[in-house]
Amino acid sequence: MSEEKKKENLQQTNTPSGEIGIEALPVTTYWADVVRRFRKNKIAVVGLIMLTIIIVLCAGAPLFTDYDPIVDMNLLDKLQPPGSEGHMLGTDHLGRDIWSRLLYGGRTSVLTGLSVALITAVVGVVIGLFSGYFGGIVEMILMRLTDIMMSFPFLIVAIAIMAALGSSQRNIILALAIVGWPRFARLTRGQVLAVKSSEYVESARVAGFGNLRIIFNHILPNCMGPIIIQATLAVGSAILSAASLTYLGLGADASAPDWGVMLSQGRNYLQSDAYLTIIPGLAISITVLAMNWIGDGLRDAFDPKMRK
Amino acid sequence: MWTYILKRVLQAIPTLLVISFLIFSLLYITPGDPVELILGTEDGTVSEEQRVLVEQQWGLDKPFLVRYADFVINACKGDLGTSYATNQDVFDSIMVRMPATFTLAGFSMLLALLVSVPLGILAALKHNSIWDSLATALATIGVSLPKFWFGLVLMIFFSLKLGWLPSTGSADISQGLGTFLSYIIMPASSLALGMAATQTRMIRSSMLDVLNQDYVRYARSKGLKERVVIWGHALKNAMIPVITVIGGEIGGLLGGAVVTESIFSWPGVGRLAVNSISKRDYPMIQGITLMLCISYLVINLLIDIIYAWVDPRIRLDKKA
Amino acid sequence: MLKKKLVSLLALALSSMMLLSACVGNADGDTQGGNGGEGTQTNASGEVVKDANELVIGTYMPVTTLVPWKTTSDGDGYILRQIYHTLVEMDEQSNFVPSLATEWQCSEDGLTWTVKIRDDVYWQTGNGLFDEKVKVTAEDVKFSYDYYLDPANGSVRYTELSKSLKEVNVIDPTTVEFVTNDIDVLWEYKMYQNYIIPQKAIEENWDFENQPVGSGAYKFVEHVIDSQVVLERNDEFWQEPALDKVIFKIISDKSVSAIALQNQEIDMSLSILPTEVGNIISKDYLELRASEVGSYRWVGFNCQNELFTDPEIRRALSMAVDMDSAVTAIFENDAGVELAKRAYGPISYERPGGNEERFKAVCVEYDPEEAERILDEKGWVKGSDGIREKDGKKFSFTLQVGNNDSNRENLAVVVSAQLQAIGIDCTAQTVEWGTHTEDIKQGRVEMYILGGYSNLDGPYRIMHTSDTMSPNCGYSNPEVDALLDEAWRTIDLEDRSELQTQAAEIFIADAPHIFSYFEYSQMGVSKAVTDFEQASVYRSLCNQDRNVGVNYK
Repeated sequence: MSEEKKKENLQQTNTPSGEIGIEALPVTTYWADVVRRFRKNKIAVVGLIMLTIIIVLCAGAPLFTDYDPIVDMNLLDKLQPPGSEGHMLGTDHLGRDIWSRLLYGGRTSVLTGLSVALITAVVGVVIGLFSGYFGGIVEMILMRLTDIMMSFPFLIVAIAIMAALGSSQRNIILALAIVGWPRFARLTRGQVLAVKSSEYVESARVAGFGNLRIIFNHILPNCMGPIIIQATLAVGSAILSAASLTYLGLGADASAPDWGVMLSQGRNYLQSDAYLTIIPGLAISITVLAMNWIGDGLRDAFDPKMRK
Repeated sequence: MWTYILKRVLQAIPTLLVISFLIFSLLYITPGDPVELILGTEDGTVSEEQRVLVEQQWGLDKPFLVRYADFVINACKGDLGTSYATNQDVFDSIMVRMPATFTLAGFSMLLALLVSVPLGILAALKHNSIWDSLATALATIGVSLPKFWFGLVLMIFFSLKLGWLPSTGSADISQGLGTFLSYIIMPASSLALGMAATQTRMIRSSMLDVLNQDYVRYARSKGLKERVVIWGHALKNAMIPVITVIGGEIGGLLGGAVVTESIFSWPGVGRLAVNSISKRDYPMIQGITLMLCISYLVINLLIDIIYAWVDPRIRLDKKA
Repeated sequence: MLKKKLVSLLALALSSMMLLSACVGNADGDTQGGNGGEGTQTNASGEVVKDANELVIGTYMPVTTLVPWKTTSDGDGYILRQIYHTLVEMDEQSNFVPSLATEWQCSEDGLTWTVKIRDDVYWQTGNGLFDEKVKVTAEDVKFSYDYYLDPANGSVRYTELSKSLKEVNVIDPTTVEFVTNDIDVLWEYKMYQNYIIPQKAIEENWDFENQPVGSGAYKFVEHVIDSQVVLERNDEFWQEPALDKVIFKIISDKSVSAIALQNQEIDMSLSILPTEVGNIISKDYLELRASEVGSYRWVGFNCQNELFTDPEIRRALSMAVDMDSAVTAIFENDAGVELAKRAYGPISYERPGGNEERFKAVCVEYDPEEAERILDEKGWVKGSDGIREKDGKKFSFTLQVGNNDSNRENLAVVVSAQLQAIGIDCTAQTVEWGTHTEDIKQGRVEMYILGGYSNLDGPYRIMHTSDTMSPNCGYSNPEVDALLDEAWRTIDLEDRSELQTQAAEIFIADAPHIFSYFEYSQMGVSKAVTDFEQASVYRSLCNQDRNVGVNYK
């Protein structure tokens, strides 16, 4: 999405006409600024590096472990504690290597988390922007839709989708996305309503900018803060919701590696072998932490008011 | 104001119609045989004569749309039907459990706000301080621990190891505040943790936003006391996105406390819903969904009213 | 001004909280329930102090119904057996023992059963139905059975009962006679299943679901759905029941119920997970009780599915699974308690016809190489992706398992992994319980895991083609059917056992199941519970053989 907008922004700053609303700042564009500010934020960069490491480890799982997460099951060698010979993080209750399950499991969990967050954010933000900006009949229809989707109890929608389509990772993502987007829509709409009447939007309108341009160039950047925070939180909560679905017996494949499955299957061992749940729990925490740091960095970087 | 409320209530009618139709159709296509359910057999001994009798008695032989119309007409009279599984009135069964759900939801919301509002504000004011780190830590922990895991850990610690709190069940406030608290504190905390995490982040973030706004700078430059600036100007505006999030969370709390309710054997609607789903008790599922939707709509109407009240820029009569 | 608004906002939030709490307060104090009743108090230091004469039983099974002729779930039976009488009960050796009946006899031709009943049993009073003591008579027994024989009343046991029972005759007030259509070796089992209900209640259109009235040792007090059922002592019972109250607390998560047991919030937990066994044993105030009959668990093939029509293929897949190690891995525990036995056939070893040695002799042994050889021979050859295929079709299917038993879920994971190891694409899928049983009944599964059917009629239901109730999932073998039909008409127990064993041997060789294990589910019981030698609550707590109580002194 950034490419298009960069162009638009370039146009905006390069237009020589003396329109109001165009900053006196010379060459730097908004988006270049975002990148620059993000880079200057050390914690955010650390978060990005962490996330990259996680993604590399998970995507390249076979390179970092010799064990297959499913088939390599040594039933009589179960519950080896972390640090055992040949098993860096030990083995689980069925004698599978935890390190290997963690890496392969990340493929499923991180993918679920990121895709749910992305889908819900894009859909929700667009709906929220339009209904907040245009008001009237558009708002009424879109917000009614949001209300309907939002007031559905999550579980019933999830079970209905699983019942109709069968449970699989794709359907879990679908179910979580369907129940997740209205939050973004409401949040964005609230933000738009607050920003809509501000001076710079008024002036952009007076300057005769098109609606789409005002929405995406003037309103969206001013709403980004809470949206980004919500999106980074959505990554973690999607991973956890998938785990809850597994707990309630609605998960996809019980033998497949997945952080949620690991947590849910390990919960009976909390008293005797707590590492079964602590390890995937930590993995989720680190991912979420990385996302939060990135989110903070992005929030600051996106905020036009921080522009100096 | 009153016209606005009336308008919103009228608007809710088509919403509820759409919702009930969606549930009705979803359940219609979900696999499961209601006749066997009514007869109470899970193994499938149903003779043809029994089947015909039951279908007539419960109106299952009628076409889909007729059944839906019947459901709507009866629902308008406050009759949500009779449970397939227990033969009890659906509306009554739900209302018996609503208070437990509301108490848990309200209490955990309160807990969450008690933590998140001060922490969020502190984190924003003292940007990059210890408070900020604490807020981040809470947010991270809160959103990365699954409720069932956290609930079990609480239980092992406070019930098993320390023996301080009962692990399951519930008590109402008439049994004494102490008893009430001892039962509600663990389930409420396990629900509140995730919420507090989200809220802290939201409050921190929107507080930061607001503190950078022109009017805050203006207020400060005018020499107003910092306290007045923060509590008077900033917080109020910072709460707008937070209230929105809370509105959404209440919906999630009412229908989404399922996991917590099943861990702690809390007698709320969520557990009833899960059990009804596994028993294929369609009238009950329809009833619960509808009642939860109505509660949700009412709460959100209240939130919108609060919204306009907090932020005068939003005018109720201009909306929708 | 603004501050004022905020303050009032907070006030609003607080007042709505109060309002909510008030709502709860109003909503009939009793219905909240959940804490062990007034007898259990938590003192200042939080220790549980028991001073009441009541038994709190933690059950993971929700109550599905309390209507005696509609129940099929054990979870309901635990409760109903305390409220109602059946004619007979079953002891730990599966022998039928007296309950309402004192003695019973079968005629020479095997068609007439004469049953004597107690003379000192009365319908429970104080419930609005019976104001004074009314004796339970042979007329009531006849009425109950006749009621279940009418299809209009929708008894779940109608099909079985009507197949067998011709008529019921009252000989005198304490003697009743049952005439069957044919020899029915399981007639006593039916006397054990069907509850005796008061005629007056039916005539008055009584609400059995919400106000059960029977003749048992404990009377119904209240049922809070998915929360608890409370019963109280019936003072007019023929002997004095030892408990003032019996409370069934529904705790669906088994880990939690183990915690509640250790915390002494409940006196019994009906099912202890393998992971909790050690914790329970280590407490000096708790002990374990194993159930006497192993409950059968199996991995079933849908024999109608084109992948599994060939018994050779089914045997090959069974060979690929190292079931001995799987059972060890799933059930091994620190305490060394045997929680399950490897199953080689479909009949529990404690039931007639169950025979470990003979089953083992015909059951396939673990041999993955042989399994691969058979599959190669049958034309299922590994493709480039390592998955076997034949005529362009991949050997790919889903193994479906219900979501309410973590042991079975583990089994599913093991089976799926070991089948994947020999090039079969098997996905283990956990499915919500209701969907699971429905799918099996409708034959909508490819491979499934199921358990139970360890009652006396189990062999028939699992193996026979025609039984409507059977979860046999497309298995059909006329030879097996013939043997079972004959067994059904054989009164002599030994001969009957032999016939059932023979049927099972053929069944095992056909391998429609991957025979997994018999689970001996463990109950956790507080040592304060007295006179509870038989580890079952699926029996009345107060009868002529026992009178369960608690003693916290």
